[in-house]
Amino acid sequence: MLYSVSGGYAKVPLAFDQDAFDRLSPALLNELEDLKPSLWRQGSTYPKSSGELDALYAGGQVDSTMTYGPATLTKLVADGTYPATTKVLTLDEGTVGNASFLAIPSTSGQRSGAMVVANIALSEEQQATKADPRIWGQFPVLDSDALSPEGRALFEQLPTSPVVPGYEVLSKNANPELAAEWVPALDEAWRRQILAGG
Amino acid sequence: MPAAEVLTARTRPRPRTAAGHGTKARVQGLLLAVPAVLLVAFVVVGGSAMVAAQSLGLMPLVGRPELSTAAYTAHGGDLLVGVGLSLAIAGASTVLACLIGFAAALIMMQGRWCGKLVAAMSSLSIPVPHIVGAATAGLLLADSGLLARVFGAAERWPDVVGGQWWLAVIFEYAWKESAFVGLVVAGTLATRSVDYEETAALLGAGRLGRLRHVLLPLSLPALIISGTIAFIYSFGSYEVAWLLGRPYPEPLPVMALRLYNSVTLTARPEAAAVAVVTAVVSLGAALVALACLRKIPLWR
Repeated sequence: MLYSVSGGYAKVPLAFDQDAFDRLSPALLNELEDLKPSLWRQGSTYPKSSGELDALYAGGQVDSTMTYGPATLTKLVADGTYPATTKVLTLDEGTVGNASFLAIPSTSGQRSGAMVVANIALSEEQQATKADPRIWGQFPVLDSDALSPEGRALFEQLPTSPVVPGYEVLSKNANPELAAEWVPALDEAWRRQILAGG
Repeated sequence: MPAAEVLTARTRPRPRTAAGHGTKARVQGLLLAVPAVLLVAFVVVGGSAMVAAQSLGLMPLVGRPELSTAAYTAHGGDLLVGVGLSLAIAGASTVLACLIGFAAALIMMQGRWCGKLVAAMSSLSIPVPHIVGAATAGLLLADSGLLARVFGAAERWPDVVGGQWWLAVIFEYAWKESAFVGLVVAGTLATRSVDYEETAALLGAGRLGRLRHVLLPLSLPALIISGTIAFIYSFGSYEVAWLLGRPYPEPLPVMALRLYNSVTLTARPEAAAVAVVTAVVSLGAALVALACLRKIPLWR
């Protein structure tokens, strides 16, 4: 939403800086303020966690929820937790996309061993297994054009879902994620002005 | 009042043991309690001292230790609102729990089948953890919960869960603590009330007279003690208020845990400050309860 009101993600520096925050956050907070009448209980209060928002959606209290794990939706719709009419909303501006990553601490005494593990995690087999919604259903990080024929076959065998579009649709126009320092600043501003503002 | 006279006359003379024997038994009793008291004191005093030090900036996670009260003033307004909200929630649920618990104890004392039923229901709800109770209350009382569906209330269902008045939170505490209060009071009454009640009845006291002059004075110490425990518990407990409440304003324990888990490591002293305030108010409540107990003839 910050990207959207700022005119695209390119306008927001990924690394936190107070000037950028002071310049960009008022538009975001105004937009959130204007949204209140359309929100759950007219924005007089908010769900405390994404789990609570999911429960409100499952109970038919709100019309949409958010998730970092779209693969779980297929099962939630199939077992009736979520309504059968559930659809994934892809925005033209794109959504924030990220990938799980592995890092090796600079103090690690076992760098080569860690690199071997990282290589295995990046292998076509492991990435295809990770992308399988029956197992984890997380976005693969491999470039589909660079796959070997066997690897491509592995990805083509993945089941398709009646609810969730494929990874290429979901990750279209993926926006980068802001640095972690943005989170407490945005949190605090939202808490003060939107949540406590009544 | 015949009943009151009987009561004071019967409670005053207590057989006393010889002074020397009494002191010896006392020392023996104290010695027996020492290991448990030491262990608890180590945890409670040690923990409290650490939290107090943290709240005063003496044990920062990052940076230099420096004595300051900044952690107490950082969220000044919210902290005061939190104290008020926590007091209101704990107060309302304790009053309800004491009323319902006392009524339940009276029904249990009747000894008929409904008394046994109430006793069984109370005993059953004691081992249910509060978090399970809170989740259950949520499923029952939420906007899309069981009751709203049974009554087909939909939009007309009041904001019980996450509402302005914290009704679901108060309901959950009142339900769980009333079972506790009921069993404690019934336990006290069971051993003492029958004689007094019969005597009072023989002397012509009606039902209300017996309730006012026999049952209530006999239960008062147990009511105050169990009520205080219920109050301090609901004042300091986190999960029910978090699950069934709203995110703003926050009761003290919810605020403390949010600050404690904050990604900003410098928020730790602020969390500790909220915890210290919670502990001080709880201690204050216990002192008030003790002062009340001292005024009761039965307790002395």
